[in-house]
Amino acid sequence: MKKRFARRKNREAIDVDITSLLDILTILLVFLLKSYNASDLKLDLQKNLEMADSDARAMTRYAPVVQVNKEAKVYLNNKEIGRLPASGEMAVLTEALKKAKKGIVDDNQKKPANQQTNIDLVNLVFDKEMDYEIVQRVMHDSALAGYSQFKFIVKGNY
Amino acid sequence: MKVGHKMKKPEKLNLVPILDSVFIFIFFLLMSAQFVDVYEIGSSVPMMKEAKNEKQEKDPLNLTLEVSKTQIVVKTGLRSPRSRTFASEQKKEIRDYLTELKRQHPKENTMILKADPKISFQNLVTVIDTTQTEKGSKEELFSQIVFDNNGVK
Repeated sequence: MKKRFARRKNREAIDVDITSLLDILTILLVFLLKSYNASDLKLDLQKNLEMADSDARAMTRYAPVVQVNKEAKVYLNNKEIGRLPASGEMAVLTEALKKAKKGIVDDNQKKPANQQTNIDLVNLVFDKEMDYEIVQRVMHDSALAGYSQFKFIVKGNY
Repeated sequence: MKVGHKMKKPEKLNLVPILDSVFIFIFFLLMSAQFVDVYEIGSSVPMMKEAKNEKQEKDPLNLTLEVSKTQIVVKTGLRSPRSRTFASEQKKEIRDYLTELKRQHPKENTMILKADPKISFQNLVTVIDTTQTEKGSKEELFSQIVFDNNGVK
């Protein structure tokens, strides 16, 4: 019995070499720092939608997001609204945008003045092959819902 | 007698707290990471604004860009309108011309954009890019864009 205890006492704590782990962590940290985005807008891109490339470097801001993909399907805040009609206004989109605006107004009442969301702003995401005619129509429908500032969300090119 | 200096073992650094904080930092960054860099461009100008009654001595710039598939027409002036036509590929020439206009009218930052309904969104974005900043410099050209929904006739 005595012998067994003596043997355990002599055993030293195992040294784990964490150099490689630290290397990985440093690389991961640098990579994540590079891809850090301070914007409060979180964008989930819809299927069949390729964003246009741009030199713009203006940071995005939180506002309702309207996405129109290659098949002319319209999404508001990641929820499918329907397909854009061949011509004319899309009443469903205008109504949905009005509802979103009302939600923002109600939300703003609970927030201090400096944290309130701009109620005139709408973010528009279009597929890069989309005709300007469709862009015009979506802007028109947004204007009918009371939005006067349009921001196109684009992909940064380097 | 044997005189020997016992080698002092170097003290081990306690890396546990720093590793803890690095792990927390990594999770924070993972949550806020965006792997596609997205930016915004567009209009911040209301569609209509009240005109002042002041009599302007200088002819306002009234910069209008008419964008079609093959060409870009840059129109300026209200009392004595002028226009210059560029091919769609002449990005550098357009930028140089707009830089010159900006130099002549440093206070102007608004541009009216009339685009052909059939041009692609990518084309439009490229034209907007050309009119925003000088290449290689951060100086803004005409950052306020007013979209003319009548399009090019």
